Amino acid sequence: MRSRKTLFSIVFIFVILSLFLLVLTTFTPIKGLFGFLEGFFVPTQRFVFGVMQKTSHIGEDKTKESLQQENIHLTSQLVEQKLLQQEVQALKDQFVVSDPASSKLLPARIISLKTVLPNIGDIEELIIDRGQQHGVMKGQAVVYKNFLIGQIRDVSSQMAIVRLVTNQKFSMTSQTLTTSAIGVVEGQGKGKMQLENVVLSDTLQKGDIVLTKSDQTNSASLILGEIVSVQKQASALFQSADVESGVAVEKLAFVFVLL
Amino acid sequence: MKKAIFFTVFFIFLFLDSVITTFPLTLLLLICATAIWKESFLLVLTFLAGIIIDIHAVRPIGQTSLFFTLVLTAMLLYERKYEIASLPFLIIMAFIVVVIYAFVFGYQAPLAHGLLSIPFSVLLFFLLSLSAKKQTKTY
Repeated sequence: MRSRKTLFSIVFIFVILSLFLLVLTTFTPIKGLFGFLEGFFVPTQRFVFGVMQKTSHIGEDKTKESLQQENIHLTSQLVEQKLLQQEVQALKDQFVVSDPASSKLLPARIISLKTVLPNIGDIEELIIDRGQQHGVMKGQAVVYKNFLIGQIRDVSSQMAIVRLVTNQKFSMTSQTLTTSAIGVVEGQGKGKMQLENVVLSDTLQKGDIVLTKSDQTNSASLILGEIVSVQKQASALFQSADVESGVAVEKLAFVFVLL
Repeated sequence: MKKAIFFTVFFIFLFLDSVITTFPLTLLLLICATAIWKESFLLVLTFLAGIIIDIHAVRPIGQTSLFFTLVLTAMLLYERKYEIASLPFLIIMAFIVVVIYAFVFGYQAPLAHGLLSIPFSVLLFFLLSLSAKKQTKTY
């Protein structure tokens, strides 16, 4: 081993170098320079994730998977039908119905779903292979069919990190489909969400679908999940409900970014 | 031979750290290796590993390198006060560092990460000290 003084000189150099890079990539647009490195790593990450996803679902019940897919499809149809009914009603009432802001869908491949150990632990974030180069920006919504999967938390040149709706740091204004109760959906971790701050005069019912408020995602209402239980106390100011997302994120290979 | 095995394990752990797990395997390996070998080339590896992990995790480049380097610096600072190449020191160090790592980088269940670090650090410590002993015998 070298002398203690030499060792600390080396440590000092690396600390300064790390700080320099950190400041450079945080406060200047130089982050894009690392895009060439990402270009090298992204295909590897994509390949490994693909292999892992295929091997992790070997022996799983195919019927269950197809039923989940059917459930997603039917829920989407139900929401579309309900929204159409509302629109027709609005037209009938001679209200002007403005089209939802047209948005562009950018297909993105999931390249990483990190957990403590593979397939153990809850997924709260995922990484996609689309970044600033493809027009992805912080805060954009990430969807699968009509379901909101999450929001872009951070973006680099060729990759972006998506904070899932079940993440404890996620919250969004939302409303229920049938009763139009307005509240705030917050991620609870462990694949769960909670609809909170719903006034007692509003009605929450089990099985109702929770949608985003359209102004939150720059698009028409997206599905957040389904109410599985309601907590209502006469003495409390607000009522709340547990919400479950219908999408099994760990089985997805592609998602779409709403540009 | 010792270094060849170490580098192989290092790259495997770096790969797993970057793509699959939130558990800092590379950091644990570097902590154990620093405690046993106390060699300066480990600092170079620490710096490079941090950059690769940052790129994969879409973080500002340098964040993980800084964290890793500071951890190793803290270890080296305690070198004269404590016997850092001992199992109790490594277990405590690994637990504290991994909990802080999970907390700082926003991973869920920092304590679970910390608890998981204990068997890993014990295993790595024995494997590395075994190879270090073998190396000594060959001289």
